[in-house]
Amino acid sequence: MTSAMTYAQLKAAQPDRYSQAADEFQQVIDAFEQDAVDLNQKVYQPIEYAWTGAAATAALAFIGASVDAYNATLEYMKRFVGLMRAGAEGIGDAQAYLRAAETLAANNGWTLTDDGLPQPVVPPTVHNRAMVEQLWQAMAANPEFAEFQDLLNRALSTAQTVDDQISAALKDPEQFGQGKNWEADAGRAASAVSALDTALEKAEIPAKGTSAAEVAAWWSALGQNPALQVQLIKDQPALIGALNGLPAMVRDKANRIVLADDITADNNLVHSLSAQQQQVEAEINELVSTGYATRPAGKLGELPTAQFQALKNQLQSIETRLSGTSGQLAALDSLQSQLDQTTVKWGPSGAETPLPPMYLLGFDTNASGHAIVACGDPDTAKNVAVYVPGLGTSSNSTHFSFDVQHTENMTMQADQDTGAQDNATILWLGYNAPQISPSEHALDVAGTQDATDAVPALTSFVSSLRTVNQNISNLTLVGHSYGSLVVGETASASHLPVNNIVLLGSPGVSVNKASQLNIDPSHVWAGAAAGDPVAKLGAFGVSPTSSDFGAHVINVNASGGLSMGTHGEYFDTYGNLNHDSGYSSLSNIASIMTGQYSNVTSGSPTGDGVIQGAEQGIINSGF
Amino acid sequence: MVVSRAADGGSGYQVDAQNLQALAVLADQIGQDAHALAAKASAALEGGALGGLQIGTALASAESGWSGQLVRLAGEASDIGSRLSSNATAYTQTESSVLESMMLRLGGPELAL
Repeated sequence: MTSAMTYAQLKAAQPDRYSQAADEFQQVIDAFEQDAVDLNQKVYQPIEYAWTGAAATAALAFIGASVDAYNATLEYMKRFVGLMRAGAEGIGDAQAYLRAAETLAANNGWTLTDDGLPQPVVPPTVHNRAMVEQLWQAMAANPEFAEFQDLLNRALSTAQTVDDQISAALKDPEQFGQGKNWEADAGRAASAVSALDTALEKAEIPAKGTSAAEVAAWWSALGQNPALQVQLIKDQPALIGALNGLPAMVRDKANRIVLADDITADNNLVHSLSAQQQQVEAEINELVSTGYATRPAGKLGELPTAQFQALKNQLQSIETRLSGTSGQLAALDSLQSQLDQTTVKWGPSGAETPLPPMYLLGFDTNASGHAIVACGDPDTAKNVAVYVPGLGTSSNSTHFSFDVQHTENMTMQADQDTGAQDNATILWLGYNAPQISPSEHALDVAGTQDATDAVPALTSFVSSLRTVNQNISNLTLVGHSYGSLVVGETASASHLPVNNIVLLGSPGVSVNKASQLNIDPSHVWAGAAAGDPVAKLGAFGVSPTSSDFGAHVINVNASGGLSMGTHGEYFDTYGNLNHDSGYSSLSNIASIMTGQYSNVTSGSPTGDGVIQGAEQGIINSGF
Repeated sequence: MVVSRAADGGSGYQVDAQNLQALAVLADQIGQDAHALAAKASAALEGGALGGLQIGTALASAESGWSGQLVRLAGEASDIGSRLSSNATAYTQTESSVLESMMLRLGGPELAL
């Protein structure tokens, strides 16, 4: 039985005390949680390795039960502090109603008694009982009087409900464990863990190829059990991180776990290989110093002994693996650093500039590596660009950092041009880029197969962006070098939901007309530096910058005359070999991706685009 | 040093007694940390009791429950430390006296804890 809440009680209540107590209790929880973790990780788990036998079994059972009790208590404490906060907020809300009522009364010249009863102010000149009566009647007839009463009632009833329910819950032994059988609770906690495991088993992760809409619906349904979502990210980061249709933040969390695990694995491997290298070198030195490295071979003089040769071969194998692993490790460390950056030196002045948030939307080290890196949040951005890099791109190489920089440059230029931070650029290395350095003969070797193989993955990824973010105004697909062939093959295969296609330094895109890319040809843009040897090859069809192709040719303001430098500078901000101080290429890309088409400066078409004999033969042969 | 031997009934055991001793110290430290938290929990809830209303009364009455539970769990961790230390000491006896020591102290390996 609870007594009715009064005006005076509510006015005097101090919900801040509950908030403060909750904050202090939370500190206790945080410290106790560390104790629970330490008891499990630093005592229980090491004992499993340090001790075996009957006594160890008994010890583990005892300590395990204690760990369970710690965890069960922790859960109760968290729920308890949650109630404290709910109480503080509820009483705070009630007092807000009360203050609104008091303000209304004050505005009308009513005073409140200690019981919260309003009364009109009676002027000293009024001595007539009838006149006083009139003042009361006028107050009661005032439309705001009813509002005042409503506010006061709301305040008191809210406070009453909150106080009754929260205090009862705080004292409820069944809910919060006061005086409970803690061992039974520990058992229940274990059951809950088991239930989570069962739920995890049932939470079948969508198979590769599932539509983004289905993936989004699956994840949304899992949202009823956030613990399950968190556990899935931890347990299956590679699978979760690769799912198109999931929020960028989720994919980022998952892929960063994969990246961190790979860095750890590479570090371990480097240490192991280094140790092996030292051991084999010592054995070789031993052979040399004891005279067993060579043997007499008659006229041939001295030849290596079989043992010496075997050790040399082994050393070479170790050094090859060590070199490869160290190189990959350096690349992964570099990627990690770029993802963690919050500022970069940017623009002609190289001033330290805030960097939009970075997201790792895809990652693995298979083949030459794959990574999908976003600069800016693609789930909320108004303008999104997907940038497909070309020949030689590998996330297992430190050179990948330049591709990430290109991505950052596009977003930051778009942000600068629009004055709004609602742009995102995604570096999409979701395919096996041919691992050949750009050169005049590289494309002969590369062929089109890698581009053809990339089509399903790029189609799925680009299409998923609008599933997650339905407020994208401009979606632009940018292909550079061999990446433009990937873009061309993908766009010509189906109707991608993109507004613009930009082809830069392109050796051809497998189709001969902009109109074959399944978007309005007036939104196909192409640029090539005058001295870009790759763009001049026309190895995969008509050059997109030729007048025959029918794209808008954009100015890249690269003067040419230099070798490969001109092929890799379309995304630079400053300091490139062409002294492109206006960085018109980057400005034009940003103008296109933000839909500011009138700002795009035009370039000159290159040649007539007719494919001549031998080159045509190369295309037809399919490499 | 890792000790390994066949024990009664043919079942064996393996133990790194030095490591076990270190784990004993850790467990005891955890117990001391948890014990210190009991007083902090009490102080936090006492402050909440001053907020008036029934919520404050409930917080005041919960105070002894939480501090008692934390003290109890702190005791468990310290107890674990003490038992681990006792076992580690037993295992570091000389090779010839280990089994005897174990039986005397623990009433057999299976009763170690």
